[in-house]
Amino acid sequence: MEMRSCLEDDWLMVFHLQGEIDAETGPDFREALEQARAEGQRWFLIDLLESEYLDSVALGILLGTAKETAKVGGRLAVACNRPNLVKLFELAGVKELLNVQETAAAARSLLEQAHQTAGQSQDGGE
Amino acid sequence: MSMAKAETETVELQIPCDPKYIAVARLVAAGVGARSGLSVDDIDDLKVAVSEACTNVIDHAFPDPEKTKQPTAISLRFTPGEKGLQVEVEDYGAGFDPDELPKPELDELSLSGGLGLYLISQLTDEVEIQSAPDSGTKVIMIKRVTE
Repeated sequence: MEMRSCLEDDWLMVFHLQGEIDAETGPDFREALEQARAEGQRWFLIDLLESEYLDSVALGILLGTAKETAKVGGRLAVACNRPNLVKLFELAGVKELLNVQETAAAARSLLEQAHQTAGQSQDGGE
Repeated sequence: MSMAKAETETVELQIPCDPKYIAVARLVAAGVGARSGLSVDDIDDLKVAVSEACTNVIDHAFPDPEKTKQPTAISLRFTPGEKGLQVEVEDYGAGFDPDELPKPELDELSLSGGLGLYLISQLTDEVEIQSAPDSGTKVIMIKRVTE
């Protein structure tokens, strides 16, 4: 697995993953996500468009991150279009919960809207 | 040149109880799957099912290395048949009572560790689990050739 991450526009943490995410490689991914959350990041775009394989290890990591970010008013979205991987999100019943989109642009757009709404409700509360 | 047909076409593999070898089990599953007539989609399913079985061994078969047995190898047997491929994944670890397997709700699956077995059942055509406390566990799965 190859992983690169960057913070875009000062709020969106983007992770690109290539290759296989399983019990061998998953812990590095989990650690990187935990570190980003510890640094205060709460908006995550996980780009799996170049990932070839994932299993319950990856699903567990993504689900855990989605739940934790939701607790602090953030959100996670996944870009994934390989039928064999999308099938796993569907079988596990987490496609909606993880905001799985076919393109990175769609995932980003979903997060931008949520980020904007969160910003507005925060302004309104003040 | 005529060749005698092999008496058994079973492919056996032993991997250490270590996450870095799960990808090796996947490679063998894909190779034998292709030679058993499985489609590309079926092979994708099989790779996940075999990986989940191995991950379960690594996560659960040796819960307390200090006091119980040290982790031993995971044995895999791939047997092509007329209808498809049978895969056995066997460990010699702690084992469990299959009747006492928790039946978690779907949204709790990943947190309870039950997601792996659930995916195996969804991605293969038949699954049988043979296990008993202190006797290890054998997961037998069959992936049929799609007509």
